[in-house]
Amino acid sequence: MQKDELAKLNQKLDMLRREPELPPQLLAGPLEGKPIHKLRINGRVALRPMLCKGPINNDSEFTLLMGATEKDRVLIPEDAIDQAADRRREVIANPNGRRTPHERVTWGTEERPGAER
Amino acid sequence: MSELLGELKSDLGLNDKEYRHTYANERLNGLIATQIKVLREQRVWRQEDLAANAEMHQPMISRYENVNYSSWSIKTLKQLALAFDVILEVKFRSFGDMVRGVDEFSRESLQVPKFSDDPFFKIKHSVKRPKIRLGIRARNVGQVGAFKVVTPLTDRPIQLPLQWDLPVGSKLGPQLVNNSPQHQQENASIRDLSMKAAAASSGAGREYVRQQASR
Repeated sequence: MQKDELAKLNQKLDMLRREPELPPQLLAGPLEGKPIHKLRINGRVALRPMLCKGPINNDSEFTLLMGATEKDRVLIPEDAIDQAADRRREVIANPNGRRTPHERVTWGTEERPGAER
Repeated sequence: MSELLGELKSDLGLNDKEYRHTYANERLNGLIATQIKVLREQRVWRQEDLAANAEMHQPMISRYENVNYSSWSIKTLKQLALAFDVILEVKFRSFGDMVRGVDEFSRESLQVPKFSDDPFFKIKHSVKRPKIRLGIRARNVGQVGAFKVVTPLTDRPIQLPLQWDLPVGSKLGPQLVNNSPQHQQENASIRDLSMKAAAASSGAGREYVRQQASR
């Protein structure tokens, strides 16, 4: 992931953590009638991480299910919504074994070429 | 310090300029879009209502109310500020200010009253001013041609001779009465003059008025 993409992703996730209902069109969904949403991060590559509310505690948590991208309004992989829905079911079946608290990934966590240090 | 604020401080503190500026720009886009929606809802407007007030088309409002919109212009924002009857403030700030503001992001913090609901303009401020009573009591107004003479401290109407020839700039012209202490002396002289004038059917009284008026 590029530096600007990571910055945008982190910002969107921070917004989701602080006030998920307030920012307009932060989340798109439910997609195809399934309890799956996607975050929109626009840039050179359109990142579309797939997530769901809950699924254990719907009022206070989101679960990131899988990473996807979008090109010409088509998700890559094309069955991203179905895959995400499958993973959601897995999480519901075994919430503690299939989830871990989100760990913030930061550009400066490791030395990377091109980073101004 | 909240968990999020602490994480963000560490994240941006890693001193990567491009990363922190991209983060800040994305946050700005999200904040503007969110505040437009919050202000619209505060006024119980539909997108069509805001569009009509801002002289825009509804699809544009829909685009602005999207955290992913990034083509903001000051001109557009000023137009929206006018529609909401609020001010637009553009300010350069430090990254520290941005991080500290993370915990304040809420509907309440984004709401802004329109001018007519602005509490600042609804509260009566206790600015000390000298007590000034301004007014003309109709029954104490005498008419001299196009001129009016005011005698605020008498209750009787004055009968003035119609043939008065008042000099330009005369104090006998139309005037408001200021009863503040610093004007009491002037009022007294006007009262004296007016009372004399009221009795000035005789030549002496008329001469007195002429003398006073020409001072």
